[in-house]
Amino acid sequence: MGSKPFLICIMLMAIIYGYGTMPALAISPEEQLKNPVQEKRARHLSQQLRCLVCDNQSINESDADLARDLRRFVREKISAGDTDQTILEDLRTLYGDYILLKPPITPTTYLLWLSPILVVSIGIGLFWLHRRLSIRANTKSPAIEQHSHSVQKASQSGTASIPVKVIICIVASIIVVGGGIYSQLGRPHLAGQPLASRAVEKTALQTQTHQIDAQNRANLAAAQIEAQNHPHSVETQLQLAMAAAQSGDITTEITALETALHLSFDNPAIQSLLAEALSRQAGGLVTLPARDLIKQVLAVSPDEPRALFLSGLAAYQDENYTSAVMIWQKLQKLIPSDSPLAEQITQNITLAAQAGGIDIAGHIDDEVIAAADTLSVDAREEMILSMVNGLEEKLIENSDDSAGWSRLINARRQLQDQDGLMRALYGAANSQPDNYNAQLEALEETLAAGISSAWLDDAQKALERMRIINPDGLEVLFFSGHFAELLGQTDKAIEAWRHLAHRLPADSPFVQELEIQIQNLSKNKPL
Amino acid sequence: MNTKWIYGIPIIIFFGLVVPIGYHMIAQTNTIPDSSVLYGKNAPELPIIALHDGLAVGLDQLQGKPVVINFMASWCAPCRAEIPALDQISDKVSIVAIAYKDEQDDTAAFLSTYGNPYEAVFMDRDGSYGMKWGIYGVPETFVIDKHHIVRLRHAGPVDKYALDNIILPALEDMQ
Repeated sequence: MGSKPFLICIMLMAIIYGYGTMPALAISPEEQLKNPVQEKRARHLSQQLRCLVCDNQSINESDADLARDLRRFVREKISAGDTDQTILEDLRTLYGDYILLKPPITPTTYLLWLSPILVVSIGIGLFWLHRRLSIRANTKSPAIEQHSHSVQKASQSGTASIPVKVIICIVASIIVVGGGIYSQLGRPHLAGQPLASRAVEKTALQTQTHQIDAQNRANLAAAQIEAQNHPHSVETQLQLAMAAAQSGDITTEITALETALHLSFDNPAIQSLLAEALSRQAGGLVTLPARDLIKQVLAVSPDEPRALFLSGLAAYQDENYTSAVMIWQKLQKLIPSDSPLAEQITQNITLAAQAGGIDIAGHIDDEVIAAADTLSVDAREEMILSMVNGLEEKLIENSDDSAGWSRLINARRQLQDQDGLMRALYGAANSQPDNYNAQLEALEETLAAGISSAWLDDAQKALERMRIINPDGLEVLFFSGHFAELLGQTDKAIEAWRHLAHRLPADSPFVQELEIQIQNLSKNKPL
Repeated sequence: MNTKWIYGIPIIIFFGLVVPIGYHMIAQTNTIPDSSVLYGKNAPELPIIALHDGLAVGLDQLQGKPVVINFMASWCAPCRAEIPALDQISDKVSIVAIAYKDEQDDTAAFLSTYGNPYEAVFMDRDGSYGMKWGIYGVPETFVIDKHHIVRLRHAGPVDKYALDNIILPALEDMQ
């Protein structure tokens, strides 16, 4: 009795397996060759060829375009009289060995072909090894056997059914987690609304939409008549463009804007309107024609908001996220904060900053400055300068930001703005009196640029701070000597140089320079 | 004797295979140019049918300089997105478009809308020309050197990553 259900089960499995492994063919009737012998040959050959788009299907089964092309190729070659071998070789020449579902047996594919045998052999080997070791382990004393038997029995009795408390916890967790997910992702506010009121609301909304559409169509018709009556008026063309935009007729809108542009001799505001319309036509992509218009607008009006917005969008689409952030931050400063565009700009900046991994709290570095390549040279320089000045203002208010000071110093250096650099260096040094390196950097630049009276006071203060932090520091001695020399305090200068020379290794070339300097000072010393 | 350690061996073998293969598959995304049977071989001659007569040019007219061959189509969305990236290199290198399984009017409308960074545009209406290059679909971009030997194949749109890390370095190597 027990074997009959088992046999039925085996038969069912065989049937299901048999049908399940019959592939559904993608060959359409139009593709098939009229000669049945040739068609059979084509199918047999195609069964050996891989669809390169759907890797594990043959080209007979795949619906991909490439599979269709390859099936056509095979049938054309068969009709032309080529042999199977020639056809396979041609396809290998075009697509490589990978097009064959059964790769050729070559040294590079030995492991591929042998791996199933290897894996089975390893499995058999492990099984045999396990058996041998188990047999050896089982030949032990009766006392040990009894002990292991009792241990086994104890562990079996321990495997009781899952406690009720555990089941309750699991069910409660599922309810809580499910409820949490629903509250976050679901629409709980709709569940309370009866369906009837929803239906009324929906109908009212549809009616309103239809009325608006009808109004827009009427406005467009009127604008078209007006434009026909006054074909040389920029204003009527712009009104037509606006009416077309509201009706969703992008083609009419673009034509009207192009006409208006021509009539206005390339007015920048109309150029930016056209750029925006072209981008809308391309589904939001800032296309090359749009970019050309934007470049022209920004060359004349670097603060034109629409062009700036689109320029930022183009940079974002090119994955130049740093440029996008810079451009949109500039736009953010130009528009009123309560403008509807302001919120959009803020969101865009956040998106671009996240995408580019940018810290938007006044982050400026070499990459940012070098990356503003979507604007004209003047516009780029002006934008960079405004950002750098903005950073300086922020640092004056919040002078604890040592990283910000570093960025400002770097930016001024890049811009080759010596005055700005000195301001930044001493700004950093003055606001961070305990920072030895900040004092040192300021003094080094001061020396390199030539100490001028404008910075002398700050330089002396910086040196004093260095002396407090590290009285015997070599740099302190070095700069002390230089300042003393500058201020005509020859004795002090000589003392500082001698002290420094004494601290350095005797064979250091710098010591020799110091000796020369000391001799010169001594010669010129007033008696 | 405890023989359970034997059960660990298949697991070790499995992970020893899966981890490097998986890493290789993941790392290969966008980091390595695609392979091609044409590497090191002469590029196929360009198609006969151009979009416009004025846009027809043979490879012999582009002799002595690298050329970028870009398979695109008006019906292909990623092809629109790669136009600005191709435009960035259009002044450095000749770019030739092959409009794959496309009609001339549709290709012309595409170029008019999205821009035209190409020096020449050819038509491959039934896809048979694309098979000579072994393409799987569009967009695909090839770079051939000044001797018109195929050096690089990139499947997928030429985005910023592909431009900066694959196409431009390849062009610089060919200078």
